[in-house]
Amino acid sequence: MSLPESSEPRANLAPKDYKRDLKPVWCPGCGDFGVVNALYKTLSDLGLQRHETAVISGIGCSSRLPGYVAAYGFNALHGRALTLATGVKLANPRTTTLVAGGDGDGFAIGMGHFPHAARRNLDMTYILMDNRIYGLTKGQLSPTSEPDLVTKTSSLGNIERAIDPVTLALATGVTFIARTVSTNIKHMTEMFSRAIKHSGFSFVQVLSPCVTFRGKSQFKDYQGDGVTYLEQMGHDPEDFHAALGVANNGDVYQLGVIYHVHQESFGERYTRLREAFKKDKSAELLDVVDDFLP
Amino acid sequence: VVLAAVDAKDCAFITTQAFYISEKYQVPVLVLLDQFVGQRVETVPRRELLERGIEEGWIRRFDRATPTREELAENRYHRYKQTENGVSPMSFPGIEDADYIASGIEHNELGYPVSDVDVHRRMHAKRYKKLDFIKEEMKFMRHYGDPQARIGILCWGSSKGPARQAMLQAEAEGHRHPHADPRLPDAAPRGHGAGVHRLLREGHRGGFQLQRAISHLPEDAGGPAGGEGGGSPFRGRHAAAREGAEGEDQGGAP
Repeated sequence: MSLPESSEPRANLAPKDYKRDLKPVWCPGCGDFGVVNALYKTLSDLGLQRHETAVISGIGCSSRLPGYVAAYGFNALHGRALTLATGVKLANPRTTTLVAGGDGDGFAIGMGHFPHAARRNLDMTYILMDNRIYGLTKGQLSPTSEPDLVTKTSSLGNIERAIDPVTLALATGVTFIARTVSTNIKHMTEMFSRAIKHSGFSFVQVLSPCVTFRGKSQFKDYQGDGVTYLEQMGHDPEDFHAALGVANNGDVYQLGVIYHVHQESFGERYTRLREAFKKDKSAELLDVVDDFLP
Repeated sequence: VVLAAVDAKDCAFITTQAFYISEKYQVPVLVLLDQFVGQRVETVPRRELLERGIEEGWIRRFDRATPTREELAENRYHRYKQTENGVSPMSFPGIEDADYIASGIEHNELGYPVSDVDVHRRMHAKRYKKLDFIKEEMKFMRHYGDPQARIGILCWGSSKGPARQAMLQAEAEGHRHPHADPRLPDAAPRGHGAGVHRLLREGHRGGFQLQRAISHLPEDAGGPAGGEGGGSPFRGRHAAAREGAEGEDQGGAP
């Protein structure tokens, strides 16, 4: 299978060119509107073409995002976005591969895939739209819901502790970790851009309020005194222990690039192993592999 | 689509077919193996596999249907457009002007999620008509024995061995006892088994059931059911015994 011949180099697209003519069905005021708008701007800023970009998701409110982006989009099974994205990237390494999804999709049913995506360090970006609730199913506790949270199905309050996605990302060896908030398009765009440009697996936690099932208070928590910016605090993103310190820092959310180091990516390792193999053995097997690349 | 290998050697053919069907018709294909097949080791010359595969048509080549340059230039490409055999050209990341959304729910020809009943029916029918084309192209049935015999055995997977054994035993005793070995339950093409009045079919609970298993077999091709559960492999005597039980409801193990 081979790709058709490419046309002449194309001009950069404007943010509006990445909008698909499908109207989002998110609730009015949902933080996910901000995320998709920041993504349009990011793709435009980076000069990515639609046919070179794939956006993969699982199931949930935020997992509807690929439907609203004019690029190759795939809704995987619930929790399986990272696995499908892995296949997309391996099949055509030239594809800019993005994963978008929520806290339930990624850290409940899909949790088992996260550490493996991290250790593979494939060159792709995972955008977690974290509203700390199951919104699509009308407001149940999610893995990132805070203790004591009262919902329709936890009238006495959440009895369990929450997973902190950034701490988990650090523990599993993710090489680029950032946190941002859906009310700040400029900051989101910068975090997305840096994540996509990172060589290896990058993870961005977006605090994206659910105004329907978490009310306006969550929206307020992510503004004003509720957030600080790491860039203004002299944080060293190469310092693992400093990153652990800001991962889950109580009531104030620290935004910015939390951790960023370079480690050999899956693609780089593959190239190195391939070159070593060529020196010792027949290249015929590698030709067979190449037959399957577009 | 579900394919069942009859022995270890057959796994090569079945798996090749599975990939072929899945790629060409854009459907998931399951390959069924039972313990007899899964833990059995056979030595098969590679040459035999390849030559036989090509001769018998198990190994086939095809190019995946992709959007045409004209479709793309005129902005007419619809990833899930209605076609005669239900298969729509598939683009993939890297092809310009052919991006689409593969939604996880019912969708229109563009891939956009919809809940319209008519669209749902049309897309549902589009998927299922692929099965007719798959059956027609792949010819899943294997036939053994006398096509004019009155009793047939319909089975799948590793039960082929006992079924053939039963057939040979019956033939040695003077019965006309054919055996058909499909790879796909519900794979029997129209017209198959026209001469068969009684059908001995492998049951879901173990053992064989004598019954009218396929709607287009003659009306009197029904019969009593019986079986042996517990996961024990079938033996030729089971099938042979069921033939002897024709017309009687014995219920228990033969």
